Amino acid sequence: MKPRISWSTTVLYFILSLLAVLSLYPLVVMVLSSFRSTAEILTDPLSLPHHLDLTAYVKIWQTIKFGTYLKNSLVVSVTSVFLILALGSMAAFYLARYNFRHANVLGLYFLAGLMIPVRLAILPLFLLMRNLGLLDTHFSLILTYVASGLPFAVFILTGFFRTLPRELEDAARMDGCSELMLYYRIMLPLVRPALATVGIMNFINFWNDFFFPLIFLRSEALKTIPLGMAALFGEHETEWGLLFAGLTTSALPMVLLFLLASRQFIRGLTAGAVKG
Amino acid sequence: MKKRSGGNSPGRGAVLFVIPALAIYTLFLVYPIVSALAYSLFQWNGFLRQSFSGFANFRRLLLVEPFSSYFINALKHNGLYFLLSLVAQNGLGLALALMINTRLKGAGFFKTALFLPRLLSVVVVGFLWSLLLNPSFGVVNQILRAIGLEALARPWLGDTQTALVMIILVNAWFAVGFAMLVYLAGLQSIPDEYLEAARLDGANSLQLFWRVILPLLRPSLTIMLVLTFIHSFEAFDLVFAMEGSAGGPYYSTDTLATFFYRLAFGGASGTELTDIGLGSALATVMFLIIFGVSSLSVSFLRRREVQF
Amino acid sequence: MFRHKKWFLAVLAMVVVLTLLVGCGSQGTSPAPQPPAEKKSVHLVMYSWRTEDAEAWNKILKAFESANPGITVEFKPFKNTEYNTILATALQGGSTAPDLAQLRPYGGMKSFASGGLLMPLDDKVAALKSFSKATLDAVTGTDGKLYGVPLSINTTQIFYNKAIFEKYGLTPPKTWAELLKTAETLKKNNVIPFAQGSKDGWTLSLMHSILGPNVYGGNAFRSKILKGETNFLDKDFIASLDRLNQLTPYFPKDFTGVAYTDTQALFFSEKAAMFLGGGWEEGYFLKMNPKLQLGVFACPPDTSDKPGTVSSWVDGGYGIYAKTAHPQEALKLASFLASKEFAQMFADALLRVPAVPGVTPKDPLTKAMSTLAEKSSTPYLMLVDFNEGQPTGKATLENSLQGMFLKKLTAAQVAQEVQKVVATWFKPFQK
Repeated sequence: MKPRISWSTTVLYFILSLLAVLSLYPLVVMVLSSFRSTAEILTDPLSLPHHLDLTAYVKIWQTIKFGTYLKNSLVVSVTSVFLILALGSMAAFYLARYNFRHANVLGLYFLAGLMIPVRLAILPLFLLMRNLGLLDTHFSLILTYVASGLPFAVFILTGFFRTLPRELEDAARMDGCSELMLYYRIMLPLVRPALATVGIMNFINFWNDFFFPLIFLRSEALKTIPLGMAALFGEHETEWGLLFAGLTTSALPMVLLFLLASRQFIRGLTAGAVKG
Repeated sequence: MKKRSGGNSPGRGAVLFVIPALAIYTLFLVYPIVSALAYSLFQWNGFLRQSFSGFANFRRLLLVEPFSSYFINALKHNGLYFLLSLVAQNGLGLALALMINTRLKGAGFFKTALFLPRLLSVVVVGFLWSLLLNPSFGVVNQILRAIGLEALARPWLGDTQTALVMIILVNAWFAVGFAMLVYLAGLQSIPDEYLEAARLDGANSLQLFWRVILPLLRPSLTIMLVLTFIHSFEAFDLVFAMEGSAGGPYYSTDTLATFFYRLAFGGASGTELTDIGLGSALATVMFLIIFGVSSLSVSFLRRREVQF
Repeated sequence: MFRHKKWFLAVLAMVVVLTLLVGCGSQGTSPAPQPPAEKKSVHLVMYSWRTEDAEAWNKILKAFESANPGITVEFKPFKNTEYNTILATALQGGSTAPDLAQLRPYGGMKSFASGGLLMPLDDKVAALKSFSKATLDAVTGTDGKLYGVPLSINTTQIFYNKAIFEKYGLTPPKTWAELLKTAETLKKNNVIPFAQGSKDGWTLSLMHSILGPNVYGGNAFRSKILKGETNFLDKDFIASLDRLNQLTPYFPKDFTGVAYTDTQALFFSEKAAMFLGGGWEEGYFLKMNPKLQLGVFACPPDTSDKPGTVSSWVDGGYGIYAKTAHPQEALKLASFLASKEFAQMFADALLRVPAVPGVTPKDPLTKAMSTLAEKSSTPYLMLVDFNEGQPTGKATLENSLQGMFLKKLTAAQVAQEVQKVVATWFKPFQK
């Protein structure tokens, strides 16, 4: 019995390691490429860099306003995620814990948003932002992100709130707890894993989004990282060395965040994703 | 969704809980999409709305050449995208979850490593894989040559036979970590007693998987099935990053979304005329497909779920 | 009962508010931030799709600013592939719209012009009168008015590496047969004769614009097809498509997966001897490899008694947003862009042939390209005349040529696909 187990474990490790290498290899290529010149990338892209060339990184900080982009990306992503969690959990609380007619209709109304490809609505959305005077502001991005992120949040969080025992609620009410207190003090802390899931998935998507900043923002001072990096692509010429340095730098905050919090990250995802 | 028995009636101010979310969601998502759908009923000149034209745009899209054949072609590709993603992303994701769920050492490392690609932007993913799949210096062909399989080396992204499959596989590379975590969550929520009981009844691993694990995984499977469907029928970013908005070579990677992009914004070469009416008609059809199929499957699959 | 009515009312109220917001907004009454009225200098914004030219433009615009105190100009380039989306939406946006914008030539700018988004420049920019009619075609709207100042002339030709040619005792070929022989020699010596690929569709119609005109008969064919006296099924046109097939043995291995940027790299790293390309390549090749010895020649015809015909076209122009807040200053800038002073700076800084007539570029290769165009040139047919409709004739040709290279279509079938699509909108084919 014993040797069979260790044999299958070996195979298991072998397969997993192979897949892990496959998973990480392209990331290694990205980092290594950032230490090369454009000519070297295009002519000899996959060998090790001939020498550690840091000029691309220096240039990124000098010519591209990376600090500004980073700040903007943070402002937009963090605000959007915060609003989604706050508004989404409130709505989910309402849907899950109260009994009223048409609760199903309202629930389906939110659920429908999960199936709406937002981009199909880009033209009306753009005109709406223009009419509200929100073009070229971070509000246009935040509102779009919040609107498109809410359905997923409401969907997941409603499921979570439903799993909480009713006695808890009744007890709190007995103690004279207001509805707001009930939501904020008692219920919200209990759905923390689901909040983490929703927050993380949305944060990744907003951080990497290129499309909406492209349409809504014009000012250099407001650009987010993906949009700012697009300046490195030319019509007929591209500064590949700079580009890879930019890509690496833009992925870095995300990867660091992930590595630091990967345990909570994964626990949140695994805890939250399924209870819908 | 089933009707809840019991539950409190909302108090006077309780509606305030839902109003902000409802307002933002309605104004910035529902209203624009409804307008976009309405656009399909008009003729457009560039970005100027002209006369009401009823279903003329739909007729052109579905019945008039060359649009109808582009539409059918793209629709087939989205279908293939979905089917292959089911296998490559969900099948592999489930397999990985099962492997990791054996409580082996280093599970944390594998989870992290396999999820890491999901942190990148799709634009980056597209560029990296275009490099790796490059016919002359790409590492994929280099490896094939090194192990004596030179005959298999090909211009992966420049061959109508392989281009779309490659994009779908790259997408699986990107997204498999997420699927894995969702399935892992599902697996971990299965009470050990169920498995013990089945084992005591003499079930082998295969039977255990089919008879016990899979039925109990239904909630995870439902979510992933629906999400995969939605993503497959919206597929755009990766195709755009790797093959441009033309869905080349020779339309072999064209999807409904790249077709929409060309209609709404002109081609990548930047000179095609836009046709908002036709583009909106396509958007409407896409919306109906995605919305229709996913709501049907949610209600169908939900009904058969094992309730926790 | 009462409570859910309240809920219903709330939603109803929201819908009303929403309708009001949108309703009044679309009449343009929404408050836009007002710039302070007594600000002395006027700030103009110009959009471009040439991110790589930003540095040179900033220098050129400095010259304009010092000659026109009180006007500052901001050159804002965007990623080429996203430019249309950006410009299309920005011009809808009122306050976010640029004052000037680089416009795609020919069909590309027409939808903006006919949408009333651009200012007609006929009487306002005097220097436009000195441009040739062929050049002005690029910026003429469907109503016959001029909506932009043409910027540069692109020509399509064959770049070659002089050092490699010398090494194998080769000279620029005079006939098509010689070109094939030259390629054969290079191939035998393990040099890639042509750095080409077909992964990026737009390079294929460009390739045809280099190899094709000698075969289909350049301007004579163009004037006939524009009148509908012939069409794409013409056997000379099909033969011109087949020329591309004749060169494929001399392309890199697996060229169907080779992207445009890869082909540039093959050429400037001197792994390939020739490159079928547009005039804009020069600057980039020399930047990537300053030691590269570049030469150009027109694709040779079948017999050496006449010069090879190159294709040329106007690569965009600058238009003025119809509702710009600073029409006077924008027109000043447009006039500057139409001046010889600007054209000389543009030619010398960017190594491009300017659209302004009577300017001689200092760089010998740039000059050589403009000479090729003077000897014998024809408009880039697919871009100048058949880049309209949805999908365009140009895009259809490109996608079909990919099909031809993948052995899915013959040259005749490519011609049929193009003919079929163009016939849906091109009036002379509908008679």
